[in-house]
Amino acid sequence: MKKYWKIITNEFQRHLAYRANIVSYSFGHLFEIISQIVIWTVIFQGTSMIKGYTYPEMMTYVIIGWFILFATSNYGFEERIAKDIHQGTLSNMIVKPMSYVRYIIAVSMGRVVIALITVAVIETVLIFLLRNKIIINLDPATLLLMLFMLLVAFFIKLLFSILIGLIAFWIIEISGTYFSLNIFSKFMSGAYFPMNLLPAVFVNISLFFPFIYTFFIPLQLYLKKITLIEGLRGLGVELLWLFLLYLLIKLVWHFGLKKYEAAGV
Amino acid sequence: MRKYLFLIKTAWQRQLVYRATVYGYRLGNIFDVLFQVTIWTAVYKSTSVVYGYNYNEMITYVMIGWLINFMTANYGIEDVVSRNIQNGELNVYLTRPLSYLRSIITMSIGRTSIALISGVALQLLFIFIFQNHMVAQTDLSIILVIFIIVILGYFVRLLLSILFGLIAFWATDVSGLNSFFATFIRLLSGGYAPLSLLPAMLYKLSLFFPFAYIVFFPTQLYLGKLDLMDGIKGVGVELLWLVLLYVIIKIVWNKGLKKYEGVGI
Repeated sequence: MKKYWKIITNEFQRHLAYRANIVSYSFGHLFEIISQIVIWTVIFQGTSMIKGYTYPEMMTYVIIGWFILFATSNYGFEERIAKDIHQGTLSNMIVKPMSYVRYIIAVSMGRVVIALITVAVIETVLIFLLRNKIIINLDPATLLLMLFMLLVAFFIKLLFSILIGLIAFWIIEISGTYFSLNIFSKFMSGAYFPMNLLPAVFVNISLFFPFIYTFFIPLQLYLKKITLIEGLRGLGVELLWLFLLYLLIKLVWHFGLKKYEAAGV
Repeated sequence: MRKYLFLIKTAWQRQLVYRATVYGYRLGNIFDVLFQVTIWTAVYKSTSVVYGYNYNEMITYVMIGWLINFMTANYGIEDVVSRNIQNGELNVYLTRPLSYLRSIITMSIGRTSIALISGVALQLLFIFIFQNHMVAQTDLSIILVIFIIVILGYFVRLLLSILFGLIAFWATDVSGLNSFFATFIRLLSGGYAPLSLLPAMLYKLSLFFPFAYIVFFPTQLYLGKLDLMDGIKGVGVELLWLVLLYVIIKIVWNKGLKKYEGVGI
């Protein structure tokens, strides 16, 4: 356990060097949320309800959703894995007495700390500024369950990134594939817009994928559109997916390693 | 002239290597366009006019806006410029009897061509599919002005990217800053939603900046919300900005070169 802790703190310190960079990313994301706020505010001037969402609910969806999205983000770990595989850096890892997948998980945890703090600060300011326009839910049971769901969501998204990163064993040029897969998973999670805007069949399909539990379901819980029991069930599905993704990674890793060319050895 | 043609050809051939990646990105773009259509379709179910845009006009805005976006995109030339500076590849350019700025402008034309063709083809397909939900513009003089504005828009975006890229003379890690600028420009150019959604003062302000003329302005011309005279005025403002940006780039370039460390010599 101590070695993993060392990796986490190392990675945290490495990223302190890029703090200005990380902060400017967060501010870039801030513009996206501002544009969403403006768009929904304008739209709700002509109507009071869109597919069951009132104005405060939609604002909450956008504002709290922004935090959920970035609190569970690993900021492109698939690229990191692809680079390790293509440049042969992976060879260093394989000879270490530590599994590569576990190493990557530890690295990612150290890596996201600064971004997480930045996002949390911006989010606090946003909530304070817009406190009259959004719904504040302070029910401790709900918040606790949400916290658990987000924690699991971070690891689901991380494992998904690792899984698609491992495609690099077979394909050389992958940034386009990642771009599309990320848009797809972001869509399936409901981060672009509430899933209820789509026909019900889409929501039902997306319940079979892990993504919706990383964003939409915790938000529904916050908005009290689903009960605590349903939330707990969501957490259960999340844990199931976590386990499944881990098995998939093990399998893909096993086959990929046979294809691995160890460039640079 | 021949040397520039050669630069364009080389960049074009380099891009051919990455054609699979280009398709990967396009797939993501398909999702992007479909999401916007979905959102607006859901919104217009409960209201018929949003800030003077009816449903068909909004769909037209999305479709034509994306078409223009594809025609003016340079896919991160700022990253190329900042990499050239930081990896010291600039040294090679400095010793050539050819200005770096002109080489990078020429190179970008070859670099974007494949992405441009595939993007425009994809978008034309979308326009074909959604033609019944779109507004048609048949006035040839308006279309000519739009075309001129779009070509100038390409160069405005290119010069902006180069300018941002040159920041690398002073800052070491610029990827966060670049992502910030990309979102900022997309917002102010009307890439997320029509700028007329903004409060009147901000809207007027945005017309003084070059960004609005990239996507928003030509789309408004297409929709007939601006007339020919406005369009010609727009061309004038764009030309003015091109000159201004070029002068700023020259100044920054001269100052930056004094700071340049020539890594790798």
